[in-house]
Amino acid sequence: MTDIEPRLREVLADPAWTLPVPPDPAAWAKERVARQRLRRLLVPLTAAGSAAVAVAAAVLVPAIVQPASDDEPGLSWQRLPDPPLTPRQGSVAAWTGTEALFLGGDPGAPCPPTADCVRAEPPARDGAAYDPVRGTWRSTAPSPVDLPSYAVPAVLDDRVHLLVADEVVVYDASDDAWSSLPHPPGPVDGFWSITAADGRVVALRQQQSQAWFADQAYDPAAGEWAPLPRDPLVPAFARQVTSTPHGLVLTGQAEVPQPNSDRPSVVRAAVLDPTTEQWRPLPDSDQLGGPGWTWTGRRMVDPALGGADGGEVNGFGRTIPYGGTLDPATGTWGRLPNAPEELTGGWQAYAISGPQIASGGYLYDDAEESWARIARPEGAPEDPGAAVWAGDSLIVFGGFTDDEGYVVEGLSRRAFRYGPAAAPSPAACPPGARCPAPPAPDVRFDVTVDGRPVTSPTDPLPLRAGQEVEVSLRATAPDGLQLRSLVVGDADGSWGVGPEGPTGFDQTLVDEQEIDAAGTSHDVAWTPAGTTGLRFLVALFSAGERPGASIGVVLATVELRAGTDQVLVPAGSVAVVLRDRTLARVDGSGQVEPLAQLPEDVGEPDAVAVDPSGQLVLVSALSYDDDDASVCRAVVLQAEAGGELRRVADGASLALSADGRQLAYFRYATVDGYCRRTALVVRDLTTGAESTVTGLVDGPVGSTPPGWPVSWSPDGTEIAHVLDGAVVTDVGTGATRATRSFEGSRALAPAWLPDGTLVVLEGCCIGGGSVRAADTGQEVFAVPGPLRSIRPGRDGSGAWLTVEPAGLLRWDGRSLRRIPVEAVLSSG
Amino acid sequence: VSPSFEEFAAARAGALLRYAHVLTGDRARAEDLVQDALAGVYRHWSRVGDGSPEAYVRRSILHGYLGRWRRIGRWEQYGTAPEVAQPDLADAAVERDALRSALAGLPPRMRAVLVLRFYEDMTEAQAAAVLGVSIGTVKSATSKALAKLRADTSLGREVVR
Repeated sequence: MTDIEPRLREVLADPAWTLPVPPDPAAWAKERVARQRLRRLLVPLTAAGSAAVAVAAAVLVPAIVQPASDDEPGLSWQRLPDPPLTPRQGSVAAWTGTEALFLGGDPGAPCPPTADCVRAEPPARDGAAYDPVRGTWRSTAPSPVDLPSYAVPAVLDDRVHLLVADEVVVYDASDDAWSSLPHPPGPVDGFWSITAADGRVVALRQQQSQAWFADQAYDPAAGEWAPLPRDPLVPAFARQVTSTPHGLVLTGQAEVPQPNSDRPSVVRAAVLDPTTEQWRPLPDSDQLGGPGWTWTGRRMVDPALGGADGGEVNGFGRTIPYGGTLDPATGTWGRLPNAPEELTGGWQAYAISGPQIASGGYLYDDAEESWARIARPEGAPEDPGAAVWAGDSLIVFGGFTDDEGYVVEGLSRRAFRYGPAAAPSPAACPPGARCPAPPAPDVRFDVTVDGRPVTSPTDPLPLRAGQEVEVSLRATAPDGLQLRSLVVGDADGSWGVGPEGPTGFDQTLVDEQEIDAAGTSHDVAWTPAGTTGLRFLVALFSAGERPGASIGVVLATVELRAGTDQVLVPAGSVAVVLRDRTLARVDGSGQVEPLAQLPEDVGEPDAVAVDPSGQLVLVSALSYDDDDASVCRAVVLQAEAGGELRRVADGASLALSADGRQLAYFRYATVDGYCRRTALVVRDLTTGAESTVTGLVDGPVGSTPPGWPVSWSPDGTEIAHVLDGAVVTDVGTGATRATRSFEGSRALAPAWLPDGTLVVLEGCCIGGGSVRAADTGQEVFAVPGPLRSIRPGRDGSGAWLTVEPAGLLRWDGRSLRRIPVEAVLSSG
Repeated sequence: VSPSFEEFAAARAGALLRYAHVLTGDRARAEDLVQDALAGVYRHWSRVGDGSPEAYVRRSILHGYLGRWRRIGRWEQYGTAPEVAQPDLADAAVERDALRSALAGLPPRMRAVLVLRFYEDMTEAQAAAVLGVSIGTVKSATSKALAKLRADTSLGREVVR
């Protein structure tokens, strides 16, 4: 046997993997952006005709977030305007006394816990400064060096010092300019940390042992580094200094020969006597140390919750806490008073500064010795980014949520303020200032486009390109919110309402003057620009007396189509699976009636069916084990009243006969290490009798559309599935016959049209596929996009099709029409 | 000068589609992932465009492929295999088909590791970084995947369903 690797490389390099490229890849991608945007921004409406629209958070600038119940009384979270920064985590956060700075940070994909990640993107160099008095952000001058998330700032007045690589870079917030200081004398090895203390920048060796190097202090007045005296704590690690009225306090954890072997690495401390300039050792503590100390005005506090017992082997025999208190005047150590359990806290924003302590998901007040759990503000990422105390407010920027996996899309660029709820009212907001918008308003609209009432802004209304339509708008908004204009955004997704007001809209249907003159009821003629794609009708509002629009609400979406396409109202019931895995029925007027939500563990639905009465709705799905793809599970489910689903069979790829009396499906099982179709089964739904039509089905697999579809002949005597063409099995005898082979392309799905023609979908994907007669290969019609499913029409003609990413098409025997339903599967 | 998004998409769509196709083994899924990934980089073009948009897109494709697996729970298999076992491994074409079928039989994470290592020519460390796992995980997944390919192809049987 030849080695597998070169053969594998050869297979992977096979030109057969090459795919055709769409004519305009950028436009192709933007189409997806527009659809994603649509899904994200819009809120489905409830009442037909008159619709209550909740404003999507993405278009609010900024919003007040409801205070959480377990927050400190009187304190609440407030969403700030987004800073002029890209999403990221771990910026350097600093407070100059007038501005909260967020510098650099990590814009790359977050690294999962316990993973060993190599950073694909360098740390950022840009930054932003938030002025809490004016409520505004400004960009900071870019740093001359990368600013990684682990850089710790030392702030002296307006100057932020950062020890990065081989120099100390200094950001002067008053000049918005960067300069640098020399590296502290000693090894340039990355084992330094800097802290501001007593008007100096103190550079400490993070660890001091036998190879001792002097700690250093930089005096801005002298303009040079000077060594600090040798301390009595050597050897120690996790060393830090805290400025107190009793002198500079050095803390460090005792370095023991083998950690936990005979004694724990407890925190030790020494005070630098201001008069003698010598370190005075304090008694050893009985705590293990947390991330940092702060002087609260009465003592030093390390707020780390919890403790460690040293493990089962050579343990300490008891739990020793991480955090605690220290009175440097007396050398008295203490436990954290009233400390809650570790891991019981809320949002883990971490910032300690003087008496203000946010740590472990709690706000700790050392004067009251009380802890208040910090709730995660609405709309904030799971893991908060950098945080800093700015006066009496905690400002948090960025962070990430791992919902989408550890990818950059999980990063946040939002900023929040935690503090006294003193948001100015819109009326009180001074002109020119950026002020909070009111909570999501209850705006009501009656909108019709081309005479059709808009019941959901999420469903595109098909319009013929070049056609002038009448848009009718009746809006009522609560006090304090004023309609400013009605505008149109196109499908490139670049429009929106940002901190600077509305941008990127390409048509104005009703402007401010018209609204001033005629109020909020308008009937206007609109000819959408362009020939194809989506257009979004957006109402812009302003809050209070402020000039300019600050809130946008999407009222309707139209999809321009070339030619003469019009909406087709379905005749008879069709069952669908929507994009969000809702099993639903489409009634005769085109309304979607949700029936049930498919649970996550059901896998991907591969077929859906409805009987002629419209009452029996079935769906089948096949799921595979995540780690062992030879293990699969197939299930046929029936929609019941109340949104319930009942399992009716172990199988998938279901199909109902035209009369709705016979159910066909494949059984699946693990055979020879693969999940395979082990039987084609027919169940008589009247008698319940079940029979195996044919046994193990081998052969090639078409994975698009989903599953391995089957189709009944109109008279219910034969069933078709696909191999390299269609295979027709006689239900009574089990005899099979093969149709024409589609060798060289791919046969993906069969459909027995009501007129008796057996068709096969050939090809897929960009540019679409062809639906061809199975016996002759002659094209019956072409499909314009990647097709997911094809089902014969139950109303006696044509077929229903679903295309990627989620669209429902009707082939009526002559032309193909789009139905405005976001379906991923449909029945006939 | 950094390329515009339009220039980038026009220049790289072909290579990205091929990468996604090798990764997923499924044409429609490949196109879906590439369209999605390009849409993602377009939204972030102002910050990604100056860096390495291709790496960003490839990572999105990879994580799209792996991330959607559990939800979609669908087996993917590339191309067609003969209906009847063809044990004649002397024929290189048949051997390649067997390997291709065996490749299609791998769980997605194993397949992803092989594609990163032997199609993208990444080192173990690079593959680990892109996948967000440890190097040890990459090593063991590579080893298991190659062993499974060897076993499946040396049996001389085609992978059928």
